[in-house]
This record gives sequence, structure tokens and C-alpha cells, in this order.
Amino acid sequence: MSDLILTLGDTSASRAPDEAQLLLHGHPRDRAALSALAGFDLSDTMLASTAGSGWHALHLSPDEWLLVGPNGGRGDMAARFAEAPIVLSLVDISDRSVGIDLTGPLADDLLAGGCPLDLATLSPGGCTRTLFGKVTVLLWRRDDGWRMSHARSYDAYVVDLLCAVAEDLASP
Amino acid sequence: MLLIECPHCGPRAEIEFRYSGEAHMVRPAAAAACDDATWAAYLYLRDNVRGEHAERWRHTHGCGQFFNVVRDTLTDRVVTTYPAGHARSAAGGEI
Repeated sequence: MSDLILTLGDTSASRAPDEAQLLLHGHPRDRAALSALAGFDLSDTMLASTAGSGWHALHLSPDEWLLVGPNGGRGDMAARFAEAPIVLSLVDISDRSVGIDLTGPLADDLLAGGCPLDLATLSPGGCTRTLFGKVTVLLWRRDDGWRMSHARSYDAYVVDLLCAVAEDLASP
Repeated sequence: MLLIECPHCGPRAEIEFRYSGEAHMVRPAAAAACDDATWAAYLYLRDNVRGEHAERWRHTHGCGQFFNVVRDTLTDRVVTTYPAGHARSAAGGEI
């Protein structure tokens, strides 16, 4: 059970489970080769995610995919890219970022309190980096709600802002 | 606030972006050999147009990519956007 940050009626924000996050950079023309290395298809549609064998790949930039998967598989996934014959970069950012899961009917309103983005533009599986207050965050719409992840050092700010938005939403 | 169409991410709020100066500034090919005036022009001389201006922007809090924007400096209206490395499109007027 993950740690609860706040609740607002049926809406809640809680700590996302600790997962492996590997940031993959490669040329868009090498997408097929990168997909073969990852073991599943990497999306060629911007701001969309694909999944396979317990991992997700978030297409955040034309040359960038974020691989999210089980902590135990981190080493195996990284090793697949080690001897690749194409130019790529794979950086383990699992410890750099922390995540917050937002679920419930007011999850969109909580995010809208800090995001300049029209959240309706992201359908389930959609992902993008944007701002929450002053902090760059990664938003990922999942089947059961939102995953917001951001740099660990900004976590106190993000949580404070989230609580302030929740207070505003709760006040009559 | 400007609404800027990132060529990769779609329309986003201006605060997600960072301005990066005039676009299509070409670095002299033989930088070490070129004369001072050419180098100074590359470094410092800009058009400062009144009207449609091609400029570089970076989607800092998004995909992170540089791209080009044609913006009217008089009205602040964004006329068109296109990926970095592309020529200024016909829609954006003359270079």
C-alpha cells in the first residue's frame, strides 16, 4: 500500500510505487531497432505510450522514450542496450524522480490547479512533460488516474502546492 | 500569454517555452579564418524587424526541442511554427 498524501472526497493523491525509469535517447529513424532491443514496440506517435512484458515506453520527444518497469528488471533492460550497434543513450533516472498517483473524480481539477495544459488533450496512455506550478513534471494518464513524476528535490514544493490546490477545491 | 504550437507537442502555453533569439543565423563556415566584421555580424547583428520575425524557441518544459516560430513583433501574434532545420515556410512570408 502506497503512502497517502491527501484525500478530497473520493479523490486521492498517493505515493507512486518505486519503479525503474530508464530514459532512452535514439534517432527516430532507429525506432525499429530500438524497439527490438526493448523487446516491445516503441510508439512513433508523440505523447503516446506503449507497453510490453511489464514495461511501458512513454514517447516524450521525437528522439526520447522513457522506459518504466519493475525495479527488479532494471539491470536486464539496461543490459539489452549495452552492446547495441546503433547510437543511443540510456540513463537510469529511477532515483532522480519521484511519482504521485492521482485518482478519483477531482484528479483533473487537482492538476489543473498547477498545470497550464488542457488535460483533455491527453487520452489514456497519453503522456507529456509540462509544468506544475514552477516545476517541470511528467504527466501520464493511466487507466486508473494520473501519474505525475518530478525531480526528487522538488517534491516538497509539489506536495505543498497539491495540498494548497486541494484546500481551495475543498473550500465552499 | 501566447499560445505557441510546438511542432511536436501541439499548442502549449508560453510559460512552457524559452525564447532563443533570431532564427536562421548561419555560422560562417570557416570560423577560424573569417574576418572580424563577418564574425561580429554573426555574433551580434540582428534584424530587429517590425512585423513578422522568425525566431527560435525551445520547448523547455515539454519535449525539450528547439523549433522556429514566426511571430509578428507588432501584434505579438504567432503566425506559424515549424521544426528546426526547416526553411522558413511560405506561410511565414519572406526571409
